[in-house]
Amino acid sequence: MAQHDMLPAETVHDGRLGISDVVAGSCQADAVGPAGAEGSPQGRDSSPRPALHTPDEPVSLKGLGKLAVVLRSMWSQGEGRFALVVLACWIVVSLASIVWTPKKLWETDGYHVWAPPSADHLLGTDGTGADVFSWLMAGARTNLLIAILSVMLAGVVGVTLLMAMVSRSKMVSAISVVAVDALISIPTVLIALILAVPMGASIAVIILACGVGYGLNLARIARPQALLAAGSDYAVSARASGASGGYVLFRHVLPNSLPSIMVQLSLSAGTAILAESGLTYLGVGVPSGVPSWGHSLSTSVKLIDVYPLTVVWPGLTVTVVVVALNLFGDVLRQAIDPIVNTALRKVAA
Amino acid sequence: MSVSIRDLGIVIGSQTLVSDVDLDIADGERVGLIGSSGSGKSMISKAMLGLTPDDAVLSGSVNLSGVEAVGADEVTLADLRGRYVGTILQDPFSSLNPVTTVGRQIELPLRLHYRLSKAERAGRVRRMLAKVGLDAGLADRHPNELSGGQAQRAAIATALITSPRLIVADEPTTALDSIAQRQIVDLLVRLVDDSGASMLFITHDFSVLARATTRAYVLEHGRVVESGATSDLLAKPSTPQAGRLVGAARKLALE
Amino acid sequence: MVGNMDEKRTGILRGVGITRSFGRHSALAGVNVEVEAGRCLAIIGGSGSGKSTLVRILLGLDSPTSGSVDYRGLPVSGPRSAGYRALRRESGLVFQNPFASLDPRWTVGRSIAEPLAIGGGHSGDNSSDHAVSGRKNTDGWSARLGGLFGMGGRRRLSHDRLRGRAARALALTGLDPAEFLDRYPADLSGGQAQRVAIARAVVAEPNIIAADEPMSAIDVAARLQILDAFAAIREQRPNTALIIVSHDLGVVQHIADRILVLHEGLIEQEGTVAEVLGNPTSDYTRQLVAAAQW
Repeated sequence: MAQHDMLPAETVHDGRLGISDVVAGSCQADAVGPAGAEGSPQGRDSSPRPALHTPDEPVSLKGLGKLAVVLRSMWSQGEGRFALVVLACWIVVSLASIVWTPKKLWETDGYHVWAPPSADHLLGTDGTGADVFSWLMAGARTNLLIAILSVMLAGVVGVTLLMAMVSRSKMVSAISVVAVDALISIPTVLIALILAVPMGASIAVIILACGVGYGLNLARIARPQALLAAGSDYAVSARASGASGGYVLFRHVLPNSLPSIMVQLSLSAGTAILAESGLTYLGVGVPSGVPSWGHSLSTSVKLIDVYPLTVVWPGLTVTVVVVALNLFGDVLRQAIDPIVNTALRKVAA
Repeated sequence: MSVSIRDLGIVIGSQTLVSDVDLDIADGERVGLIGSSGSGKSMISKAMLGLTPDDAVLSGSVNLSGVEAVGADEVTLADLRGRYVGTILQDPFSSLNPVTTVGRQIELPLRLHYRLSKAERAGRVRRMLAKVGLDAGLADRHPNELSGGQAQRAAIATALITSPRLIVADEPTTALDSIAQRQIVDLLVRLVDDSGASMLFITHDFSVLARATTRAYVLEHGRVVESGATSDLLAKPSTPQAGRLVGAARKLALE
Repeated sequence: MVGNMDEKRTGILRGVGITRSFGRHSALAGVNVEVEAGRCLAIIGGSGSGKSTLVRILLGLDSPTSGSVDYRGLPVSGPRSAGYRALRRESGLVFQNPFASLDPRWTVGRSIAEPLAIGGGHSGDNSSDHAVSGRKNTDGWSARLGGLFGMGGRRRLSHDRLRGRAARALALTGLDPAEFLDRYPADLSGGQAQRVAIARAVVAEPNIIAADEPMSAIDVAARLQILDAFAAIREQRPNTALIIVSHDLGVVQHIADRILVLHEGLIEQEGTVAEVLGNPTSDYTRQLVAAAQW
């Protein structure tokens, strides 16, 4: 039955496609010009059909072109440049620390505790005589892992809840709205403390607490934009063409909520870094012995009156990275949004 | 109030929206400004009111009965706007505040610009409502309880309550249905003529322009391409731009 | 099966005794409508006349409080009904504000091809009813999943075919596909955007195109181009029924075959264009005629 229905219909299309030969002919002739002129790989396409379509090859080229435009428009702004440089350094340092740090992490020097910066110890040493710079380098990768995984979890939790909240099913949306509003009132720290009971101090506690907590925030903050898209004429139009609720959510609502999702996720990354410091200080975050910026902060903060410098370095690192992440989201939002970024619209054309 | 615009240019960023515009409105005259969307007609009206966006660079001169509006300070402009110039915009529902009653909105310009007793204000609002053909009971309603035509009448009342000497009507009929369009244009013409004020009427529709104005300027890409008595423009437009606009309006009207 | 019953009739979409109330307010009070294949019906009325509600109900996008709608003899009553499902494939919709009805983050080409990507496209005429009767499979889970991930179910068309058909639909409305297919709505004028919306409505070769105030948000000069686009559709697809909703008799005089005047939820007058314009029988119709006169 299905095949019987399917096959003839396909061939029928071919027969009836022509609106009129004149119209089709003229628009094809129009399209060949620019494609040939660009010298794109279309020229090699030996298909007899004059190509109105763009073959797959240039699509990926177009994708690269888009990426270049996005990066260029981010780079063109001071904030964007700062964010890109800081984040690039963060990633490079994280990767480098896996194979190399200036000093071994456990190489302690009892005679040089709380040492000020010197040629030997670039940022000085901490209370055990370990090299602060090396620990910050190694901490970078822990924090990168926490930021990435928290954001991924927040994204999954947040987008799932968001889709439920703007769902066409009245029951699903009502329940999810109430659930989000109720759960959002639980502080992230409390979630972490509760999770730490069975799990002990671990990176997973931070990721779970941040991922869930920020996911809830994400859902609530992106909801107005998503509702607007869900109630738009283009959503009605898609449904009128027979689109399912899922299609409308993932093809129209989600892409049109992406600006606020992007901003919220990059804020979440920054907040996750801050939360790591706080939770590690409370003893439910990164377990002792594992390098992290929060670890560096919490081991030195007790003697802040006497040796303020050892606190300044991890503090400064956290601040710079968090600021960079916050700026990153805002700049990224503008760069990837075809409505705001005219250059991006031109790549497509 | 007479208006004299000379050599007006408006540039935002790298885009020139308006250039070399000369436009005159004599005291008590109803003048039209017609063009397609994007021709810069709204931008000219904003320049008259000092309401162009912050990044817009203006050149030339906009003289309103001796007061220069280009480069004027905010105090002068605010006084000009509320007291001497009344503005009516396209969408009454977005120009009326949804949380305030119609009566209070009509009253607002009076409170801002004149010291009147409560009873005097209420009396003026009542008389104004009658003039625009709205029931006095509507004063206590909120905008969402009105039809489009009623809301636009309320917006006209708000614009005219201070007896301004110049009315700037920016596409006041575009958002309305055809019957309400006719009524609003006819109402506006009557009220403006009765008060002796001048009017700048902005539209893209020559059939509306024909009823609303005696003289008109045709705008395209920020430049005036043709001007003259509205009846002459309709009878024998001399530029293709004006010809296209007249032709389209004629074709879409019933004989 | 059911589809054969009304094969001989020209009326393909019918509403009988349609009533729609919103709370105490009654938007439609017992309206009968018949839309004929290949004809253009103009539904005229002021704001609040119920004309938009009527069109949404006729297309199954809203449910009447009472009354019934049938499409090609199939009942249109809720998303599971055969008439509703057939209408989803065989109708196209044009809205008042083109910028609100085009996804601002989609290119023109993608928006136009959307009905094809969703439904796989309708065969394009109303003589064969296999498209109606044998379609259960495309509504199954695989099709839904396909739709979810943009694969358009079983009758998935390749990217090239989608683009080709989008180009043809766009050319029909008088816009050059080479220039416009890859643009975003933000780079279009109102008239261009509305023609893109019309191209989307026509791309799946529907039996019915319904346009709700397609010209009132567009400036007068561009309205003629919209009318030309509809005229081209009528010429190239002589079987397509057109429903145009408007408040203005002037804009529909050149395109409509029949006019239905709606006022406060009731039909004031119905007839051919010449009948309604030449002999308005009700007070309200006379007002409408007067308002559209020069």
